[in-house]
Amino acid sequence: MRFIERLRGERGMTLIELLVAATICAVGTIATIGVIDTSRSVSVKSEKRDAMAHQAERELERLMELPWANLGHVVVRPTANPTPAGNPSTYIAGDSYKYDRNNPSATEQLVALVDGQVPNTSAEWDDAQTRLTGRVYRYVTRVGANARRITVVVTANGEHSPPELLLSSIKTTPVL
Amino acid sequence: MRRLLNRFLRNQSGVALPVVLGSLTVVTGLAAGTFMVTVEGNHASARDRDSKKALGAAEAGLQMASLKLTELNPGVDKCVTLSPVDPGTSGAAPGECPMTDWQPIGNGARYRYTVATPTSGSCPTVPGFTPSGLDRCITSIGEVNGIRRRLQLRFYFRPPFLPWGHAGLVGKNKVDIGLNKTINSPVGTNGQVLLGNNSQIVGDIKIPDTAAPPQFGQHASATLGVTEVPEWQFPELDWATPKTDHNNAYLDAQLDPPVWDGKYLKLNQQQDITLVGGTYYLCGFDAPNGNTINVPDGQFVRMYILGDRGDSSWCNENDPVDGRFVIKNDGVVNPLPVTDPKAEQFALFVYGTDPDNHDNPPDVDMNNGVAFWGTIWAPNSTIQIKNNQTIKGGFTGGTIDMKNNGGFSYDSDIANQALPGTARAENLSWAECKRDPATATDPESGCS
Repeated sequence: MRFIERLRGERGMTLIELLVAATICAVGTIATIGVIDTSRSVSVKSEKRDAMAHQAERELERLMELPWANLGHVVVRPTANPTPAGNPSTYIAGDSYKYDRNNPSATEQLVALVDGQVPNTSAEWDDAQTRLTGRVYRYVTRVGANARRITVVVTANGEHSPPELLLSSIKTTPVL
Repeated sequence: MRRLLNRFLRNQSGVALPVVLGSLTVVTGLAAGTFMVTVEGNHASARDRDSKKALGAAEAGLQMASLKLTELNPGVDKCVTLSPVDPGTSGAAPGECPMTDWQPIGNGARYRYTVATPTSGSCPTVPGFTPSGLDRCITSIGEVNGIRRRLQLRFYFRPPFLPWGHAGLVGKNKVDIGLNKTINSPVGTNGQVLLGNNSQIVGDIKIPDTAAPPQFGQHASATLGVTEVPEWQFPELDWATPKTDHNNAYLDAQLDPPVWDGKYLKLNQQQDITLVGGTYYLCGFDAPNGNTINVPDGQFVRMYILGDRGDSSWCNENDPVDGRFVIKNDGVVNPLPVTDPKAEQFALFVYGTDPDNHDNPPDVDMNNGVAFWGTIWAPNSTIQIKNNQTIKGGFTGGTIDMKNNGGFSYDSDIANQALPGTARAENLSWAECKRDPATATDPESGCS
């Protein structure tokens, strides 16, 4: 009887209620902040991926338009470079390039030409609107006597960057 | 009732918790909404990336299809997958061309294509452009993670001209085979074939219905008789365009004047020479006595004899070998490897000064025991071959004049040897199509 009466009483209830409410509020707020932070990082990642895809497409179209005699690396083929970590050029082995990340044993010989116009070194890209930056790597490999694979690899600088983006196509010259 | 409500509202116990929970619900809802929008944006970004990859794969399909078409050189009634195939096969609807299987290009991207015959499929045309009977419609699909892009290309391909696909010895105006000859090859002409006493053609004589009947000497014959064929064609080479891609510098490095003066190659007696693979442009060539011209095994030499061709020519018409290829007295061309010389390794092209004038020195003059493994394209010249020659390859001349013993053998390896510059390939129009064909059985549909 006394216990029920005590529960009915209002003395001390505000403090307990406040403490419980504050705890729930804190947990909820922390969780919400976590969600917002995750959203932010996903948004940043999406934005970077968009910018990377745009850069890759632009570079691929530029290379696809090169005349056949110029579609190759400049005299000497690009060489492997271990830095920075994750550098796409680490997939170079001798004069070959591992063009397929899903199949590391798939390699093709890099094309080097006297009149080659595909740079051997990577280049910095920056998007003025989004103020994002990164690097673009280009590789031209020999699919056959009359076909060459163009692989463009784009990376982004900074936190929340998506993995390297590979865009590739094949250019051929007719047998005449 | 009203008193009860007032009392409830005045009572402050138990207010904080509902207020906090309510607020949290609202905030959580907003956060969840924001997160869902973000996730959707992330998916859209990934789809955009895959769409660009799929476009690259589809473009690769167009490129590989056009390459395959020029490599295989199929008849106009054939489709192309990885080989020439008939319409309506490999699961295609009747009259339609089949698609290839999916071809991977790495990193999850793949493509497949179909190449229509000129009549089985059509592509959008460029305004003002008249389609030709050689246009092919190529449709290619690129796919990455289920994202597809579909492209279409109208592609013109004129196949290369194959001079020696049907006969090894072809004369535009006449083929005069002298006495005691054995010709191991079909012979063709738009004019007349003259076969001297005791000569034999092991094969048939291929002539159009407008040609004069062949003349046979005593004991002369063609083992397979006379076959009527369409008129022989003799397309002109591009002689006018300045030549820059050649190997004349090799001669500059090897030979001094007067043997090589940058225009005429005139060997001394008994002088041998090796021509490395490449293209040579000469005003004239003279190998007077006992000369051997070697071509390294596995290499291919193309020699153009330009001659004086008018105002733009840098040759001298007064030079005795201007526009001529002369080899005499046991001269040998392309004899390696000794056991099995390859005619396809030496190709001679002669601009030609006079297709049918025996009073003038012939443009191609092989005299006395000459051995020659190669091909000659000289439809505006007389090719004269005299006295105990050994020849294997394919010859096309204005007049082919063979005298006194010896023989000629066809080399089947040259059947697919194309006349340079006669093929043409061109991209005529390009379009992106809807993701899937409008009609499932018509792979070209849904593109306009």
